[in-house]
Amino acid sequence: MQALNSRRHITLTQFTATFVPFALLLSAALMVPEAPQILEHNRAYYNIELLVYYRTIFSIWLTMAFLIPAEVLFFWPGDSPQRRNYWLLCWTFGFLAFAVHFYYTIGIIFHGSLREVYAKQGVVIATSNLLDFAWWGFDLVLAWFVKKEAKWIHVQRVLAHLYIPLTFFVSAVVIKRGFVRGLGIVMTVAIVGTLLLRFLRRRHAQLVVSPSEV
Amino acid sequence: MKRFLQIAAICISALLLIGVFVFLFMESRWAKPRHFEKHEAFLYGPTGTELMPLAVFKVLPDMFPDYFQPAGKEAGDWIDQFGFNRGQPGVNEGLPLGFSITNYRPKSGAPSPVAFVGFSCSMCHVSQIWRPGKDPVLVEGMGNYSVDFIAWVDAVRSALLNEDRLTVDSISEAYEKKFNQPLSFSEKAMLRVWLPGTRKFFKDNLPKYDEPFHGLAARDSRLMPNGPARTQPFRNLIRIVLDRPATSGDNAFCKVPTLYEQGNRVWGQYDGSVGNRLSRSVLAAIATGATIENLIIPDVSNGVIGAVDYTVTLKGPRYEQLFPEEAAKIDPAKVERGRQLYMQYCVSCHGSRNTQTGKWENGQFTGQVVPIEQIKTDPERVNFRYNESLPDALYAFFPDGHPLRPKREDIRPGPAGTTRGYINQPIESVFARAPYLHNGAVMTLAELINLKSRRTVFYRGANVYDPIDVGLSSPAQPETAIYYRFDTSMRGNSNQGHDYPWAYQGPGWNQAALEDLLEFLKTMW
Repeated sequence: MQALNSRRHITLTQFTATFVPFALLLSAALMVPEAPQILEHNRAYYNIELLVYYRTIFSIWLTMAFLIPAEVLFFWPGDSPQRRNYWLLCWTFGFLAFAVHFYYTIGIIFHGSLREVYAKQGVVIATSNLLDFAWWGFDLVLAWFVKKEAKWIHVQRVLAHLYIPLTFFVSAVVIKRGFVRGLGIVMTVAIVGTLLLRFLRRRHAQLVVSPSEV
Repeated sequence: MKRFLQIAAICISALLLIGVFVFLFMESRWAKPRHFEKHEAFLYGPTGTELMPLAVFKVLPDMFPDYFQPAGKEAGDWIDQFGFNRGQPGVNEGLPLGFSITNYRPKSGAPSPVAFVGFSCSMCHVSQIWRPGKDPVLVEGMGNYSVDFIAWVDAVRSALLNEDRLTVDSISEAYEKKFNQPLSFSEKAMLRVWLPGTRKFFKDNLPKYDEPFHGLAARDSRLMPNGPARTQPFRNLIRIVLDRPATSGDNAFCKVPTLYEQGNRVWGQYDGSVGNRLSRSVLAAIATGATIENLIIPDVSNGVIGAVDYTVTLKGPRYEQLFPEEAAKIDPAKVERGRQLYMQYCVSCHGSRNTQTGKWENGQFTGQVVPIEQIKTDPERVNFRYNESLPDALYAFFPDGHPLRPKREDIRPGPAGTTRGYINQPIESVFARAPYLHNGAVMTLAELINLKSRRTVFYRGANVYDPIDVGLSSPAQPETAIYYRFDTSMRGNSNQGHDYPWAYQGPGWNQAALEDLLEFLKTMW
C-alpha cells in the first residue's frame, strides 16, 4: 500500500470541490435547526436542547459524508497526487465536521465533563469516541505537517482508516436507526468494495506478473 | 473565468460559514443566565410567558390610545386604566410590576438578540390598596383587585390583529418619535420575524379565542364577563390542552387569588383541584403563554420555583399597619367576643393564628372540599363543561420525564377526590383579601359574614378600601377608575352561599355578635 505523503500541491479546483460543499453543508447543519424558530415565530417546535441535539445529528451526518470519500480515496488502488490531495481534503473536512459534533456532544450536552460522558455513554463508547477524535486529529497533524513520512506513520494511518470507520459502523449501523444507518451502510459498502477492488487488482497484478517469471 | 468563479465560491462559502459561527457565538451570549432571589423572582422573574419585544411594549399603548386608554387620555395612562401597579423608574426598565424582561423568544425560549416582555407573578399577586384620604400601599401576595388583565390582553390582541395600523414601519416610527432614536438593526430584524408570526398565531386562534374587544367595549360587563381581578382559570388550558374554544357554558369566573403563607395549605385553587404549589404555578404560566419547552429553561424554571418559594412564608399585612387610626378605635372587648364567636363558628374550617407561636393552625376541616350543595356559593366554577376530562388531559399534556409534569394524584377530579365544591382554606390577614368568595361577588367582610346585606350590583376597578366594613367600597354610579358594573344576577356572579355564622336576618342572626366578629376579623393576621 502506498503511503499518502504530505508533499502536495492542492489546486484551486480541488480545494473548491471540497471546501465549498463542506462550508455550505456545515452552515446548513448548524442553522437548519434554527430555521423553524426564525421563520415560524411563536411555534414551540423545539427547545434549546433539541436545537443542540439536531446540530449533533446533522454534524455527524456531515462527518460521514466526508469520511466515506476519504476512506475510498485512501484505499483505492494505485496512487496519484490528485487522489492524495482529495483524500487529505476530505479527511480534513470530515474531521472538522466531527470536531463540531464533538463540541456539541461533549461540550454542550455533557457540559464538558468527561465524568458525565462516561456516566451516560459507558466506558466502551465514550473511550472509543474520544480515541476516534484524538487519533483522527493526530493523523491529520502528521498528514499536514510531516514532510517525510516514516513507516510507523503509514501503519498508524492504515489502522486509523480501519478503526475509525469500524467505530462509525458500530454506532451508525448497529446502534442507531434512520438516516444515519443508511449513511453507515453506504460507508460500509464503499469501504468493503474498495478493499475488495484493491485485493482483486493486486491479485490480478500478481497473476499477470507470474507467467513471465516462470 | 473558472478561476474567478472558484475564488468567488470559496469566498462566499467561507463568509457564510464565518457568519454562521459569528451568529452562534452571539446567540450564545444573548440570553445570559440570571439568578433571581426569591423575592426578585416573585416581582420580576420570568415565567416563560414572553409576549412581545420590549421596544413594541413601550410604544404599543401610544400607537393605540383608543385601545389602551379607553376612558380617554385625561383618565390616565394604560397603567392606570387597566389597574396595573406602577413600577419605579430605573427598576426593570420602569415597567409596571408584573412584567418580566428576558432575552428569550416566545414559546420556544430560543435566545433573542432583543429583550422580550412577559409576565411575572407580581402582576396578579401584588395589589395596591387604595386607602381613603391616604396614599395607596402595595401589598405583596394580595390578589390584585384592580387589574383588568383579560381586558388588557384583548387590547393587545386587537392591536396585533390590526394590520393597517401595526406594521414594522409604524412601530419603528413610533419608537423613533418617542425615544428620539431609531430601532437597532436586530430590533428591526426581530420585528420582521415576530410580528407576522405572532399575528398569524392570534389569527389562527380566533376560532378558539374569538374576536377581541377593545375600547369601551372591553369595559362593558355584558361583553367582558370577567372584569377586574377575575379570570377564568381553566379556560385557556381548555383551549391549549384540549384544543376547544371553551365558550360553551364556561362561566367559571374566579378572582385572582391571594397568596399569603402558602405553606399553610396543601391543595390550591378555590375548588382544591391542584395539590402542588409548583404545579399550580406551572399551569398558570401555561395558561398565560408558557410552553412545556420554555418552562424547563433553567432561568425560567428557577424563576417560577423561586417565586413559589417566596409565597410559602409570605406574611400578609396587619390591619393596624394599613389603617392605624381605625385600628386605634377597635374595642378589645368586642374583639374578644368576636374571637369567641369565630372559635365557635369559623375555626373548624379556616383555622386560626396561634398568637403564642405566630403560626397559623388549621382547623378540623381545613383543606377539605365542601360540596357545592352544602356551601351553596356560585356553582359555575366547578360545573364547567370540561371539569372532569381536563385533569387527564393536563397530565397527558406533559411528556414522560418532563421535570415539571404534575403528578396525576395532584390534580382533581382524580384519585385524590372527585367532590365538586370549594375548599376550606386558611384566611391569614383576611381583611386584605377583598373582594370575597371565589368569584369576588361580595365586596366586604361585613357582607360576607352577613352583618350587612350583600350588594347585588356594584362597580369595580381601583376601588377605595373600606376599613370599616372591611373590603371594597363602591360608588353608586360608575366612575372613571371604577367602571365595571358587577351584577350578581349574571351567570357565574352569584353572591349567595357561605351563610356563616347565620344567613342575613335568618334564624339565629345576631347583629351585635356579628359586629364583634367583624372587629375580630380586622385584627386577624
